[in-house]
Amino acid sequence: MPELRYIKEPGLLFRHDQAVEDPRDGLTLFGPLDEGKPYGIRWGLIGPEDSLQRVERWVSGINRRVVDSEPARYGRKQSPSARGPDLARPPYPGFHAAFEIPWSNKPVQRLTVPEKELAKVAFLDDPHQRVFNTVNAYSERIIDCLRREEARPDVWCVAIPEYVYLNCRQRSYVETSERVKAEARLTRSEAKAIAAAPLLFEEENKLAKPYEYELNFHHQLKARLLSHNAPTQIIRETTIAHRDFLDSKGEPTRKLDGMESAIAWTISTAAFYKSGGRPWKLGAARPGVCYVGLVFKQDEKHRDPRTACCAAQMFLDSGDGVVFKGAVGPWYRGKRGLFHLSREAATEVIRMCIDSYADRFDGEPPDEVFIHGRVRFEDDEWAGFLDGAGGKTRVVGVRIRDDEDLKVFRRSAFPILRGHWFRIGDRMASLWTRGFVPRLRSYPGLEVPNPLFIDVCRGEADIETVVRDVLALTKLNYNSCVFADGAPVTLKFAKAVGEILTAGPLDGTVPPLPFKHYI
Amino acid sequence: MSAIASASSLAPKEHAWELNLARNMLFVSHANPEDNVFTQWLALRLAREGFPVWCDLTKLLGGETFWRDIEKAIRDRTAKLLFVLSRNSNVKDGALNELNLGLGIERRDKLTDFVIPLRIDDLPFGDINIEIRRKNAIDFSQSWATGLAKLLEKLAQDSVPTDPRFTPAAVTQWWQGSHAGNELLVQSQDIHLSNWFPIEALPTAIFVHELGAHATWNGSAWDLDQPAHRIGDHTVSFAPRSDFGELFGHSHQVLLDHALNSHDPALPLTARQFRDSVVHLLRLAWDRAVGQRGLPHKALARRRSASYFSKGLYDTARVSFELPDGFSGSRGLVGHKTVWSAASQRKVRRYWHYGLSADARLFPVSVLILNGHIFFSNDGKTIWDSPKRLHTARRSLGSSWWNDDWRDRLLAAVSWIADGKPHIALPVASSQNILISTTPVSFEASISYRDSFARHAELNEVTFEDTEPAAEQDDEADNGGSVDA
Repeated sequence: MPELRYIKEPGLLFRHDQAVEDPRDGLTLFGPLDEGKPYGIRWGLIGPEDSLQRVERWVSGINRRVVDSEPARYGRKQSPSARGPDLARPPYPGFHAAFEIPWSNKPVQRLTVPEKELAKVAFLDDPHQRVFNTVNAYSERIIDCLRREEARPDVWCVAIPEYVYLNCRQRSYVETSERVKAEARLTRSEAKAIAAAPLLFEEENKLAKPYEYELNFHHQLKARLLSHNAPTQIIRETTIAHRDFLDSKGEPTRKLDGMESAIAWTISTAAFYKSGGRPWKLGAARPGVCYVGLVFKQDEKHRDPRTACCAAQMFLDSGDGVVFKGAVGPWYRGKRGLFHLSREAATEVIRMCIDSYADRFDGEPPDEVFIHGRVRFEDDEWAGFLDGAGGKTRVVGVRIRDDEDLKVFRRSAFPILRGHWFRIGDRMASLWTRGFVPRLRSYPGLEVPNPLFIDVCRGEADIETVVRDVLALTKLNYNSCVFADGAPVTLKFAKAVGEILTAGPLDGTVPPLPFKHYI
Repeated sequence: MSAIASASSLAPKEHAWELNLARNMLFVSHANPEDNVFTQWLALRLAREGFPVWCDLTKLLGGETFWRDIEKAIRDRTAKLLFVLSRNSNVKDGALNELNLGLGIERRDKLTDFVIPLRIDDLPFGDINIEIRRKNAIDFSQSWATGLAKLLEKLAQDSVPTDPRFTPAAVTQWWQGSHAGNELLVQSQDIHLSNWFPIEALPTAIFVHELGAHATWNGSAWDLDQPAHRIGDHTVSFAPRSDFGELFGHSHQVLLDHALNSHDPALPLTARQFRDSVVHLLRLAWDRAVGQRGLPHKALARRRSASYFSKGLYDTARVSFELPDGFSGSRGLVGHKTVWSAASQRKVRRYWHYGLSADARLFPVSVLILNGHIFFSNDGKTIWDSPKRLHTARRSLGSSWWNDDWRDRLLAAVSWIADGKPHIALPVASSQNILISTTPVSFEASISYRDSFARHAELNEVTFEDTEPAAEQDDEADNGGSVDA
């Protein structure tokens, strides 16, 4: 009978050198990893006045314990006692209590985007101008403030009304009656032509600019601030004050009752991290090892459909990674999700990672680099990685994808335990990163959990070590504050990072930047 | 807190000096369960700072046994009684009795600030119990962190001793022993069933056919009498040339083991092509076999298809199954629900259909892989066309199907397709069947967990990604449930 092996839940390390499994427990009991860094949340706040006030009220509120409201069942009835003790929702003790630094509700910079101005651009009928100008309303003010003011926030909270969220996405639709006519507009081909060969007239070039960017407020804002050292935390006002926004039945438009503490945990952790703090790291680090997640994104705006951007995200034992943008080239191979680098590009991207590692460790390169990707590596590409790694560093290529072929079922109503894995020979395994979590007394997912399929497709490594590492790397997501993700941090944000790197014309201008600029 | 009748049984006053020496504990009195979250946090934070602390929620913390006789504990061992003052404790008998006991000791032994109220909510001053109204409460209501800082200052000021048994490590040890869920894990065999169904035996030979000089065939596998897979000019099948009439002009017969495992350049196809073909043939053979049993097909994304149970296919409401080890059950494979249709402004019946898609693998074991699906129709037969509509309904129904729902439907469906027999026969040639066992591969784990206190997560607690690949295309899911828009 095939055997399911078990890996004990990895611990996370907090202050006082103490390790526990759930980040919320660790923060509540011991506080974040680094003492005295940062000294407090030095934050900037930008948005329309109403949204600013909501964020300030919310920040004021999270210094106290946040109590979840009883979820209204909207048509379904369930008594509170039926829910039992809510172990899946560790209580939020207040920002200062959890992170051991204050988060004052007075930001160091407070920039108001006039509601009238925002509403005018966020309802433009031309989608490119709509997103570009809406991002402008925020980014220009932030950039201007950084130029003028000495007090620089460590993180900017970007407060957005719901219409900004709804109208500034890829497939947004603005009701005809609400549309604001753009004064002048270009067709796609006109914009493409100007982008390829700028005209003498500045006005036309300026008009073509919005068409060079992705239709996504989140990605475009982050992309346009990459060179300004201004990490942002975008906050939808309906997330932090959902009861202020009711539908015709008097119910909140977003059903976030019962989610208040989870929201507080998530935004607090992200804000703390983006302010320069490290909330936790792996309890059992392996010295001399680093993990690299490869990022690819097809550049749909380019004439050659093979053109794609590549990047590498490097992580050590914390979620505080660095993103290295690599060369843009014909990496896309036409099949869904298949990207491969040339030998030179592979060398360059891995060399950046190794050099950065060596800078951090007195010039010593890592002993081992694990490259995580969703597809196998080609011979040429792999040779490039080996060239880039140099003679001192062992390189291992690991392919990780969702395993849709294997489902296992316990003989009860509850699924397999997270941490089980099935060894398929010396180089492959299926690992359940999703499954029942004893700490939560629950399986925080739906239906039957799929395992990850892990394949050591290049280089030599013990499969059990690789599996252990992948399980641990599911616990390094600082953009959230949950027990664990299903995917390791090396791959979790690959899509988002790629989209930010291709959200606008960035070629050759992005230095290696901390991961916090991308999430 | 267990109730304490009164403060009448206090120790004689002459023993106060000796008792002071033994008084080294902090006792936290609170309303249980209302103020448990704060109290546990406070006790653990005090322990982390080295203070020996007692409360009913942190028994055995620092190796200190919680006294059964609370009255004696407060009277003989307590240096400070920290009273968690809230709208709850202000009116709760148990907490008030402890408070009165503490105040009695304070008066009798002339102790300064023996009782320290910790105010944690907006209880109005005028409503505060008269006994402690004149005391300076430490305010935790605005921030637990600033309240704790003031309390630690006060304890240092009053020279309350620390105890080396109370350390951050002791807090971790206590937490791991009582809250981390480790007590749910048990060392015992846990047999997991799977969606892998063993292929009893594959044919020993495989054929590679080449089209005859005058033959025409558009390459559709469904046009042929036997499962066949076309690769360029070659067609791979388990059926000999004679099974296809005059279609093929020439054939190679190859031993299957040789085809799959050798890299013999003399063979017309590579080992990898042979392996892909065998998997393809197994899928085709399955689709044909379940089609014969009356299950209609539904096309899926990426050129895959599934077969589903339709209304009237079987007589009973539920289909039973029983595995050789006695594990049994029964489930419905088609069902309906009456829902309100906004389009037609009336109640309509909406059918759900359980379906199966097949795949195969040859390593590490040869198995047919069966995956469950849910489809929807208005009439119990014709599946909706709109993928988006199907996906939305699928997510809604799927959110209430757990481990046992999927497991038992899979076993019931396979049992029905096999007509209760231990094997499903998949014809692959006129005189050859591949037998698929209806007992799935079991996986053995040596660690299990007690799930008597487990509960299913609610939708808004879901943090692991959904199991449906389509969900990955959802913008919100890609953000990992992050609230960063």
